[in-house]
Amino acid sequence: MGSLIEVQPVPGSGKIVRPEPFGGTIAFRKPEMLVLVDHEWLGSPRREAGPDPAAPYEAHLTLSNRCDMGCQGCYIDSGLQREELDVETWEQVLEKLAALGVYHLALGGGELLSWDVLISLAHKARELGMTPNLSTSGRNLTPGVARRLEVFERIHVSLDGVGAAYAGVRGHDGFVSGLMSLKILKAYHRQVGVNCVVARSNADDLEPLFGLLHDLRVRDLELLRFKPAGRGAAVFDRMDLTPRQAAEVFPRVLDLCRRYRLRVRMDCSFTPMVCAAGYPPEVLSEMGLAGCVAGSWLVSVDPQGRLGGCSFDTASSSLTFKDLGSQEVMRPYRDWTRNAPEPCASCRFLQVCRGGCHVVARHVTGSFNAPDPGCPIVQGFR
Amino acid sequence: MKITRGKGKVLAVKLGSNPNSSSLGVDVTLLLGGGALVSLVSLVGGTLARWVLRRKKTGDGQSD
Repeated sequence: MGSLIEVQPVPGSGKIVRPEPFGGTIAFRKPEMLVLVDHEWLGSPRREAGPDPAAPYEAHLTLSNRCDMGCQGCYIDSGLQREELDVETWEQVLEKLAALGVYHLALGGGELLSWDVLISLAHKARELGMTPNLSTSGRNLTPGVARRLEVFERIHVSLDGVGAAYAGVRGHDGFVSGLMSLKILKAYHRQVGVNCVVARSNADDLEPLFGLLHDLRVRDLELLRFKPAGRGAAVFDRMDLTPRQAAEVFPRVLDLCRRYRLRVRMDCSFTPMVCAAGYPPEVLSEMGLAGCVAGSWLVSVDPQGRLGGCSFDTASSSLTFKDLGSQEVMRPYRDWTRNAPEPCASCRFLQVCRGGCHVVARHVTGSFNAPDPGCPIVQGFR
Repeated sequence: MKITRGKGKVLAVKLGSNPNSSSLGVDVTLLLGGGALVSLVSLVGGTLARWVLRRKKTGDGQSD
């Protein structure tokens, strides 16, 4: 039983239960899951209640934005010359995150970042009791490097479609290179998947990617909505899903899951599209769908050390990694739900959606407080 | 592995860990089985959690 079930102790304390305002969290490495329970379940005296955890479950660290790939929608507006935190400072960031009890790290960033730096930080994260994951385009990946990446629990390669579909999203043809990286990683690592950005150009053409992954025996796919951050802001008008695509994307994905037997994750910004499919909110909540959890379940640090609720919202932040643990990072997102405008205020999905993606809303409407204009329910309200 | 069903509620069971460094994903494949599969996962997750807590208490005396 021991090899099939493995708890992940709370980093920083080594305990099994992480105390939360709503009760507690128990994390498992095997099977990989977070179990959120209430006070009564724990048999503990009732304290302050609330939907948000005491600390983030995971942190997204964008280690570098040095990159020469030139993707048209790069959310960190990567380039070649930037001032960035050094490795020693990133180690301090890791120590702060572990002290908070953060379980998971997702590392990523510019593709010119040294593999040695990534691997050394992943080892540091392991030493601190955290689980490091990696997302990469796999640029310059060799079998020798791939062997050393076993320190990462899970690695996802960015592959935004097959053939021309990739170029339609990225603005350059990197499909063959991405596919090669995926095959190398698959040969050397036990948990490899793919990240795919879904935009107007490929939303109706996802099936070839599902077919390819099925043939390659890659079972995990994460779908990400195109965001108006970094260089993505300039092209968002032509990359954003049409209302028809927004309404159809989730049922279509579910159908493809069934036919190709892939395990698919849809990112937080797709929550309005998932909710619009009509499943009861309590079911969605029970499976861990929590909408925009920026600053709550999630926190992000960019290459300059700026702290944000999520990776798409660090550029305007006045906080830095030194503020990790401060409730300030969560406040605008938490207050959003409290002061939600219509139609969100009376929407039965408010607590599992939290208004959709506020980064999209701010870009399209000029207001962080507006409902996500890409939400099919919001579009039907107008 | 003796488990007794206790009081209280499992609020959520979130499967997998997120590999993406820009946003947070949720496994939607569970919805292929509808609400029943989600409830089953919740039940299994809660049962495992209770089992490890019970084992911890009896194993080294810590109440955690």
